[in-house]
Amino acid sequence: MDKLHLDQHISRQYNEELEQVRNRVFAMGELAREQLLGSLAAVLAGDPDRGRKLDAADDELDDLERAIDDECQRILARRQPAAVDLRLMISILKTITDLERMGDEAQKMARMAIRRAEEGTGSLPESDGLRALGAHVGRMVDDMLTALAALDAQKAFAVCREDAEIDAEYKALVKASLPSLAADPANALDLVWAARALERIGDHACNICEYLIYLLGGEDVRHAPLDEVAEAARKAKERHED
Amino acid sequence: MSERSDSTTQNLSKVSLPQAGGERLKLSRQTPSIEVDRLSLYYGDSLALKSISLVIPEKRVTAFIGPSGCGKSTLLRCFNRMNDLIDTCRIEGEIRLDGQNIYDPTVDVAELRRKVGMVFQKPNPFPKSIYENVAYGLRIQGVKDRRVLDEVVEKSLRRAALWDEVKDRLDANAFSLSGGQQQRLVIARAIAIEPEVILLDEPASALDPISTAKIEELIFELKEEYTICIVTHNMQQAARVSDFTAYLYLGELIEYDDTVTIFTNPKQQATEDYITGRYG
Repeated sequence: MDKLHLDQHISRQYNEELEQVRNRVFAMGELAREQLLGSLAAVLAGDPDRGRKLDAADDELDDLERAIDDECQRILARRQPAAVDLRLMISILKTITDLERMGDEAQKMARMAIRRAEEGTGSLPESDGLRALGAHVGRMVDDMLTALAALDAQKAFAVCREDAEIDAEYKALVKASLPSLAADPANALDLVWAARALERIGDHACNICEYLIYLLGGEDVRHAPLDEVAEAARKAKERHED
Repeated sequence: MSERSDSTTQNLSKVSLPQAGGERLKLSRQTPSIEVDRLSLYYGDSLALKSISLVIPEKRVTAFIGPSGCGKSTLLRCFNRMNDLIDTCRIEGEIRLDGQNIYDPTVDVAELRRKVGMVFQKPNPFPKSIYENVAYGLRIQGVKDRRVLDEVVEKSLRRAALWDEVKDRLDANAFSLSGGQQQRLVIARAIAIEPEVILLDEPASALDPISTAKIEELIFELKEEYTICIVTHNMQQAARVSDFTAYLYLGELIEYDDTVTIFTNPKQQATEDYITGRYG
C-alpha cells in the first residue's frame, strides 16, 4: 500500500484497521477542504443559503473527529502499536484536531455569510485580495491532502514553506484594509476576519504537514525554523527511498 | 470544539466507512455456545472457583485473564472435563454445551472431548509423522480410507496456516518442526476432528514474537468456524485476539465484557488495577 509498509503486519486485521482509520482521515480532510472552499464562496457571493448548509455540515466534521478518536483509542488499547505504527497513531490524533479546527474557521466564514445577509450587507466589497488569499490557501490544503495520501515529506515541506507566504499575504491584506476601517468599518472588519480565518486554515495545514514529517522521519519539527524542517523532510524522504 | 449547529444537518458527503480497531460487540446479542451456571470447583477442601456464571458466545474468541492461581486454567479445563482426571476435584453447578449439561452422568466424555478440543502451552505433537499427527483423531474413529485422510490432513493443515511450510515433508517427524510450527500442527490435529469449541491454554507463551503473531492470526481466522476460549497471562495478547474478556481473581469472576470495554473502560477497579499493572 505504501512506503511505511502499513499493510505488512502478520495480523491482516491490524492492516485493515490502520487502512480504515487512514481512509477516514482522508475523508475528513476532503470534507474540511469542501467546507473551506464552500464557505469562502458563500461569503464572497453573499449567499446565506450556502452559508447555512456549510454551517450545519461542520457537525459532520465533528462526528468524524470523534469516530477517529474512538478508533485510535481502540487500536492503541488492543494493538499496542510500536515505532511507525505508534507515530501513525500520534500523528493521526493530532491531524484530526487541526482538521476539525480548519472546519471551525470555515464555519466562521459560513456564519458571516448568513449574518451579512440578515444585516442586508450581502457580498463582501473590495474582495479581490480575499479571493486571491482563499485560492492560495485552497491550493495549500490540496497539497497538504496530496502529501498525506502519498506520504510525501518533500511536498509536506513545500506546504510549510507556503505558509510563510500566506502569512505575508494576510498581513498585506490587513494593511491594505486599514484605510477603509474608518470609512466603512463593517465591511473592512469582516474582510479582515475572513482573511484571518483563511490564514488560520493555512496554519492548520502547515501543522498537519509537520505531523506528516514526524510520521515519516520520526523528527518533531514543530516550532522549528524552516531550514530545519527542510532538512528533516529531506532525511525523511531518504529514509523511505529504496 | 465548535458549537453545535441548531439547523438541520445537510451532509455534504455522508462518510460511511467501516469502524477500525475492532467492532464493539454486545455480549447480550451473542448466540451462546457454553453456559457456565453457578460453577464452583473444589480441590479437596479448597475452593478454586467460586460460583462462576458466564456465557461464552459461539464463533467468538473469549479470553480469560488474571494472575497466577486465579482459576483461569481450572475454569478452561472444566469445559472438556479435564479436571475429572484429578481425584480430589469436585464441582457444583452446571456447564451447558449447546444446552446440555456436560457433567450429566449420561454424557460420553470421549465424545465431549471430540467436540471440545484443547491445545496446551507446550506443543505436544505425538512422536509420529506430521501426517499421522493430523490423521490421528480420524484413525481412532476408524477412518481408513486414504483419500478421506489425505483430504482432511490437507484441509486441517491449511486451516492451521501450516500447509505451505510442510506440504513437501508430510512424512517427516513432527519433532523436526519449530516450536511455533509444532503448535500450529497441534491446532491442525485439534481441528481435524471438527470440534465445536477449541480451548487454548497459554498457546503462545513458549513461542517467539513472530510465531506468537502467527498463532494469533490463526486464532482470528479460526473463529469463523469455531468457538475459541483462550487462557493467557499475557493480557496484551488477550487485547489483540479476543472479542470478550473475563478477568478472574482468587477463583472469582470479577468482570466479563467485550474486550474493547475491558481494555478502555473497565467497570471494576480491580480489573483496571490488573490491566494497568497496578495489581499486587
